This record gives sequence, C-alpha cells and structure tokens, in this order.
Amino acid sequence: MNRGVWAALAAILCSITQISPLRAETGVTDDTIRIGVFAPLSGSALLFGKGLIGVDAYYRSVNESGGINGRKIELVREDDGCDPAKGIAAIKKLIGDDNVFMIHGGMCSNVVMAGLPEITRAGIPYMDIAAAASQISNPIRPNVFQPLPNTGVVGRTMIDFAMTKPNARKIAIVSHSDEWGKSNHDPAVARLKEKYNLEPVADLALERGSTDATPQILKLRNAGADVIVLLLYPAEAAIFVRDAMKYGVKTPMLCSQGTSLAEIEERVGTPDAVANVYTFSALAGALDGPEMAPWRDMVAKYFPQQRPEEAVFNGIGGAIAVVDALKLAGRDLTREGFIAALNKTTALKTGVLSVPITFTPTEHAGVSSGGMMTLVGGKTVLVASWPVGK
Amino acid sequence: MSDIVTARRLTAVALAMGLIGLPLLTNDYSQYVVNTILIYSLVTVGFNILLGYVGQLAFSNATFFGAGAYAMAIGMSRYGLPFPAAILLSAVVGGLVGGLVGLPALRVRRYALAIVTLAIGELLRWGYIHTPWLTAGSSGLEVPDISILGFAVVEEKHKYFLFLALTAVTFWILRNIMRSRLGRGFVATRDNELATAALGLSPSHYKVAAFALSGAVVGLAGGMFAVLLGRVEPASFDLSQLLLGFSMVVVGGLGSLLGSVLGAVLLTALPELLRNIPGLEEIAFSVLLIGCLLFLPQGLAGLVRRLLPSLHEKLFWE
Amino acid sequence: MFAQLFISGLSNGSIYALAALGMTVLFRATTVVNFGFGEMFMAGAFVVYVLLKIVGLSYIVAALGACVVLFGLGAVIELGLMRRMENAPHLSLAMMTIAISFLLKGIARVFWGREVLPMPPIFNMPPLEFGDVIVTAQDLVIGGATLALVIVFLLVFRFSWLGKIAQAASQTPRGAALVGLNVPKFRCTIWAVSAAMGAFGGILVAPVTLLYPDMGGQTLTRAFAAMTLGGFGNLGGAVVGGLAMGVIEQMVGGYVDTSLIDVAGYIVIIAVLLLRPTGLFGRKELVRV
Repeated sequence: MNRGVWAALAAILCSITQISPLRAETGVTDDTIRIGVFAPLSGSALLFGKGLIGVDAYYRSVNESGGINGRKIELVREDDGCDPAKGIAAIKKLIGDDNVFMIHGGMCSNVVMAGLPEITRAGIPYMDIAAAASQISNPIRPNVFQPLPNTGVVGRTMIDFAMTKPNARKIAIVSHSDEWGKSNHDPAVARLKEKYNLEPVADLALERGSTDATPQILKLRNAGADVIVLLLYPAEAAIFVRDAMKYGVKTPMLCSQGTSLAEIEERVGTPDAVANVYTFSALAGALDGPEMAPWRDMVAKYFPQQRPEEAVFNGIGGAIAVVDALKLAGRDLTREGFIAALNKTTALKTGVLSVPITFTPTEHAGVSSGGMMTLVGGKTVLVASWPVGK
Repeated sequence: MSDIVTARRLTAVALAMGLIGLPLLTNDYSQYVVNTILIYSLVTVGFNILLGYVGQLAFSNATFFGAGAYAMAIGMSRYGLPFPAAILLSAVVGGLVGGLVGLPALRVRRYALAIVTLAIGELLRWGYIHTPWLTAGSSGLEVPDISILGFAVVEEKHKYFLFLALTAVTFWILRNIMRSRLGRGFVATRDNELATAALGLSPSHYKVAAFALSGAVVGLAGGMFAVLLGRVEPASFDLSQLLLGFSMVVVGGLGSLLGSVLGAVLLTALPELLRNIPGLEEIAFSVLLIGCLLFLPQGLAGLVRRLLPSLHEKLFWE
Repeated sequence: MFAQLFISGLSNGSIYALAALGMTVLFRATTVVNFGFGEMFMAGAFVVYVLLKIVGLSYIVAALGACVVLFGLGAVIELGLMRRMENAPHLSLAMMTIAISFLLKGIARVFWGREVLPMPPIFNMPPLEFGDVIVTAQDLVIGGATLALVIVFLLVFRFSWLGKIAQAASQTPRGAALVGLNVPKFRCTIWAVSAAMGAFGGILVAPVTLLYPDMGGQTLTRAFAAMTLGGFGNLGGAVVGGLAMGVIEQMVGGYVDTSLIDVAGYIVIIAVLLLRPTGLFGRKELVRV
C-alpha cells in the first residue's frame, strides 16, 4: 500500500517537472513545437489521407537535422473522418485540449470549411495540407494559408491547357456530384465561359464508387468532344480511362489534381492506357524523375511500405513553408510572429513544387499555377501547353 | 411508496443540478461533445418512437434529420428567419416529411418498408445535391450565427443551455404524449394491428401519426445539428448517419427513453474516446454492436433495469 | 447506342442478379435479409487477392479457395451469431447482419484501407465486336457464370428435395423439425452457401470494380432494387430484376441524365412499391390472423 502511494507521488512529481515552464505561447516549450494535424485517419476516406505522409516525413527529417532554433516538431494527430461533425471535434480538441501552437491539417474541403469559423475565432495559425476548395483562401483570413493550387487554379489551368490543343472547340466535362467534384467543376465551367465564351459540349456526372462509365462515354462519343476534362477521384478516373479504351475512344483526357498516370496505368492494366491522358500536377516533375528523387527517398526513409503516389507529396510544399517561417520567426516564437513570417514568404522555391510559394498579407493562396503531366516518348514529363504531335 | 417517490424526486433534482452545472467541468472540446450527445439523444428518442414504440422497421432517421437541418439552414440563411421561427420550421418540416413517408408505410411491411424508407431518404439527399439554388448543393450551406432576444449564442457553453432547454421540453412533451390515448394507440398498433382495428381504432392513423411525430422530433434535432455545425451538407445525412442513429436505438434499448439517452451517450462518446486508435474504430463499433445484440437484447436500458431496479422506469410498453 | 447500352446493362445486371440471388436464397430459406451481403463480395475478392498475390496460388485455385473460405465464414456466422438470435425481432437480425458487414469492412481497412487495388482479369483477350457493339471477355465471363449459377439454383430449388426443405424450414421451423428435418444444420448450410455465392460474385466482379473495402456498398442497394422489382423472395424474379436494373441504369444514364444513374435503383424501388408492391413475380403475402 505504502509502495503504491510513493509510486503515485513519484509519478505525479515526474509529470509535473516534465511540464517545462510554458513560454508566453501555447504549444511551444523549450525544446518542442506542437503542431496539430487533422486528416482522415479512419473510414472510407482513408484513401484521401495520403498527403499527411509526406508532411510527416518532412517534419521528421527536419527534426533529424537538428530541428528549428533548438526545438523539435511534435505532431499531434486527430482523426476527422472526412466528416464535418467529427472534424470540428478534432479541431476543437487540437486547439483547446491538445494545446497546439499551430494547425497543419485538412485533406477534405468540407471539413476545412466547417472548421474555419472555429480556427478564425481562435486565431490559431492554420496551414492547409491538401484541401483545395478556393473558398478556403478566398475571402482571405489572416491566419489561414493554402499552399497548393486550389480548385480555381486547377480548373483554369486545365481549361486553358485544353484550349491550347489545336482547333479545340468542344470541351466535355465529367465530374462527381459531391463537394470535391463540384468545387472542381464550377471554376472550370466558369473559365470556359468567361475567357473563351464556350459552354461545355457535354457536362456529365460519374459518381464516386461507379464501376462502369458506358453511358458517359457513349454520350461523349456522340457529342464529338475534342478534349474530355475528368474531375474524378483517381479510381474512378482509371475506370473511365479503361472504358474509354474499351469503346475505342481516343479523345485526350485531362485529370485533376491528385491523380497519377502510373496509378491509372496499373489499374487499367494495358500498356498504352495513358497515351492520351494528362494529369494536373503541382509537383516539380514526374514521380520517377530526378526532381522528385530526393523527396521519394525522404518518404521511403520514414515510410518504407508506402508506394510513391502524387497525393503523398502534395502537402510537402506547405510543410516547407511552415518550417521556413518558424525559422524566420526566431527563438522567441509567438503565433503573431509566425503569421508575420509566413506573410513574408516570397517566391519560396520548395524543390517539390513546380511553382514557388508566395504568401502576402493580402494573398494566402500560395500557388497560382501548375502543369500537366503526360507521356512524351515513353517518359512522363511536365508540359505547359499541348505537346506537338499528340 | 413515498420512499420511492422521494428517491425519484431526489434523483431528478440531482440530475437537473448536474446538467445545469456541467459546463463548469468542460472545456470547449468536451462541451462540443456533450452538445452532440444532447442532439443525438433527441434523435434516438424520436427514432425510437417509430422503431420501438410503433414497431415500424423504418430507415428514416437520416431523412428526418436532414430535412430538419436543411429547413433550419435554408430558413435562416435564405429567408432570414430568426432562430425561434427556424427551429419551429425544422420540427414542422420534419413532421411533414414524416407524414409523407408514413403514407407508403401503410402499404408495405417489414423489409420492404425498410428498403422504401431508405430509398426515399437517398432520393431526398439527391434532391439536396441537385437543387443548388435552394440548398447550395454539395458545397454545403452555411448557417448564420444565431441570437436569442439579442443575446448571441455562439459559444459551445451557450449552445448547451439552448439545446438542453429544447431537449428537456421535447422529452416532457413526448412523455405526456406516450401516456395519453395516442401513446396507447401506438402500442396497440404495434402489438396487434388487426385487434386494434377490431376495436374500432384506426391503425393507419396511428402509424402515420407516429411517423409524423418521429419526423418532428428528429427534425427538431436536425435543426439543432445545423446550429451546432454551422453548416449543412448532403453528405452528412447519408447511410452512415442512418446507421449511427439505428445503432443508438438498438444499443440503448427499444422503446425506452432512458435507453435512448444511454445509447446516444455511449455511441457518441466512444468514437471520441477511441481517437487514439483511429484504425480500429470501425471494428470496435461493430464488436460493440454485436455484443449488445447477443447479450443485451434489451439494450443498455435493460442492463440498468437489472442492476438498478430502483431506477426502473416504466418501459413504454409495459 | 441503344444496343451497346443494353448489352452493357446486361453485363452490369448480371452482377446485381448474382447478389440478389444470393440474398434471396438466404431470405427464402431463413427469412433473414443479409444487409451485409455486399461485404461477402468484398471478402471473397480480398481472399482471392491474398491467395493470388501473397500465397502465390494460381487463379483457379485461389478462386476455389476463396469460395471455400467464405463457405466456412458463412457457417461460422450462422453458428456463432445468427443461431443465438433465432427469436429476435427482425430489427435485431437486420442490425446483426449490418454489424457483421461493418466488422468485415473494418478488418479489410486495417490492411488495405489506403489502397484501391487492381485485380488481374480472368482472361486476357481483346474485346469482341459485334457490329457496333463491343463486348469484353470479362462481360462474357460474368454473364455466363451468372447464368450457369442461376440455372443450377433454380433447378435445385424447384425440383429437388432441397427446395422443399427450404420451404418447410422457412415457413414452419417447428413443423419441419417435427418431420425430422435438421433445421439448424440446414440453416447453417444455407448461410455457408449464400456466403460462397458472395465470394463467387466478388471474384467475378473485382477485376471490373477494383478492390477496396467499400466495394460492396453499391451492389447492395442495386440488389435490393432487383429483389423489389422481381418480387421479394422470388428466385427467378431476383435474377430478372437484377438484369432489368442493370439495363434501366444504363438507359437512364444514356438517355435521361447521368446524374440519375446512382438513384435509378431508388426510383425503381419506390415506383414498384407504390404501384405493384409484390413486384413482377411476387405473390401476395397471406398472413394468418
């Protein structure tokens, strides 16, 4: 009994002394910076949680090379299940219970949008990982930063790219009806209308979980589209490409952010599956190319089981921006100082993204363009306009 | 006899004090969880009317929940209704949808009823997605901050008292309904429709009334849900929402008010407590459900009754 | 376009027919609707995947292995779980099947939650062309296998003693027991058979749908629509309903609006239950007072 009491007292004493005197700032101690993360860690949305892997790997590598101004990053993860109700709980927990310094999270735009009032009220610095809705950075909120091309940028880039095809007039769009699909669809249709004064020759839906795209492809074949813009998740995009091949439709197809050519090819299972496919990418180069090699190695070092996929690397740019700003904000770290440092991010070349990141006090959408990846001469390359001869 | 009455009264007072004093113990996050529990208690009680009381196998909790939530969101953000009017609208719309869903229920039974109510719910959800002029579609509709009599209700603690008041009043109304002739009619319909008809009562009327009542209660909870999240979107009212409501009823105990609350508490608190092992949540949930179905056929309410008979509350059907 | 949509509809519809048949077999024999049938598909497909890729067996052996494993799983489910719930209300039975499906999904997610895996097709042939209409080898295999299975089941249920036992055991378990039928053993067998049918379906379908823990969800609602359309509890009706659902979906998508494809099943369900609740081939249920 006595031993138990002493043990308990000892435990309490130990835990008290381990709580270093908190600095003026929440989530910052003498040797750690707590960064909160919310992302899908369970359920059917696990598929969309890959961006966290790249971010995690980057922070670990930063810790291994000594940290930031003498502090190491400690990640606190909370599951949002890609559901707003659970996401708000996760965010509240991070802010009020886990007491983090800043939040680096969000893969699903609907969760982020639902959680923004909470984040804004708390004034906590927030860096998005991969949620791409343009409403996240527009209207601008002082503490909210979006370090990757949002759906407005994606839509504009894809439509502009489609129109660089010689004699392109009939653009078809196939999208999911859910929040992600809609947030990709609307800017694309708007761009087509405003800049080129065109309506899509076909505006079709293909829902998540579909296993057959026959009606859509037959309709597109009849409509005679010059380019098909696919605003679909990777698995559904692969099914569409497969069915297009089945029906002999050779129209070029453009896929949205997060899809990778290698994945489509693997899922379709035939060698020339992606000959006519282009995917939007913010990354610096093809996944198997020299630009991405150091990043692949970094992820492989900490997550050896993870296959290299586009989505894994999409959030690293934001992590680089975070670390850069933390360093700039100095040893005397406060949330205001950190946000001020983020707002000084000017043309930050991350090496992982093809376009540098810029944040200013009036613009928090950090990346305003991207490229399209396609196979040219058997190799995956990033192109800015329609390749000759395709 | 007076001992039991005193004990019950003391319990009630203690409970009330505990509920009112609860915000002293919570932080923002745990208060949010408590608010969620309150809302789901109401959902479960409302759904229990259909499932436990009237014995209709209807998969419509998500339907009514969503209808009430959208009524609140559309009422406040598109038509500028103040909160009291909007929450009333949630209940009314929920009740109307309930009544409409109840009509086909007269023609079909059991599994067919389950399937058709599921179909209606999913079609309604399709409607939310494809009428963006009204519902903002898949992007979701923001619910403006609410205020009551000039006092802004934005913080979780303030929302708590609002939700607590609404829930308590609704429980009280329901309790009285269940003890009235209408309530007895519900039970009669569940037990033996033909006998009920033979007595000169109309089972169809009771069925539709049950659907409407359930719809109103769950719709009201939906309105509260819209205020809790500040945002409504179609994806919130899909099959997983349906499953959640269902599980709460089954785990809590069919036909029991206490059980509904216990079921809501357990199945809201559990995922939050299991946050540290996210991958296992589905497995834990299903194991819990299987365990309850096998060993606690009368749910948590049955367990409470066995362990604490003095807390025994008359089950709706006794 | 009509012909292609029709053929494609029959191909998709074969999958729905298979699912509807598996569920109807179970329902006819035990009056239980397995709300988790989609997960039997998923479990079967994943077992094949594991046997194929990790254990390294050939496709045929892996497929047979999956059917055997699921047969066992079905039996275990009946023995361990469903048997204890014999007298439970239908709500609890439905809930139990849902809980089981959730468990299977959760287990699959632990291993493959982040993946959408491709499954090698059964035959690697180029698509066949009949005039304007294109048919893949996969379509033929699915259609043919479903047809074969359906014929087998129809014959067995109609003309053999197994069918009579099924009728007896489901209508009056006590009476059947009195006559000397081993009702529990029969129930166990039927669960096992139904699960194995799920495996069979999953094996056929996985190359088309890709392999991931949620792959069974869509099939379930289509199977319900098929069963409703064909008449709940009618084996032939389930199959016809499944094929019809496949065709209806394709026609709606091709001629009306692609956004209606996912809800075509729901519309069919509501229409049928409002206009002709017994479905195309069902009989009116007579209830004893």
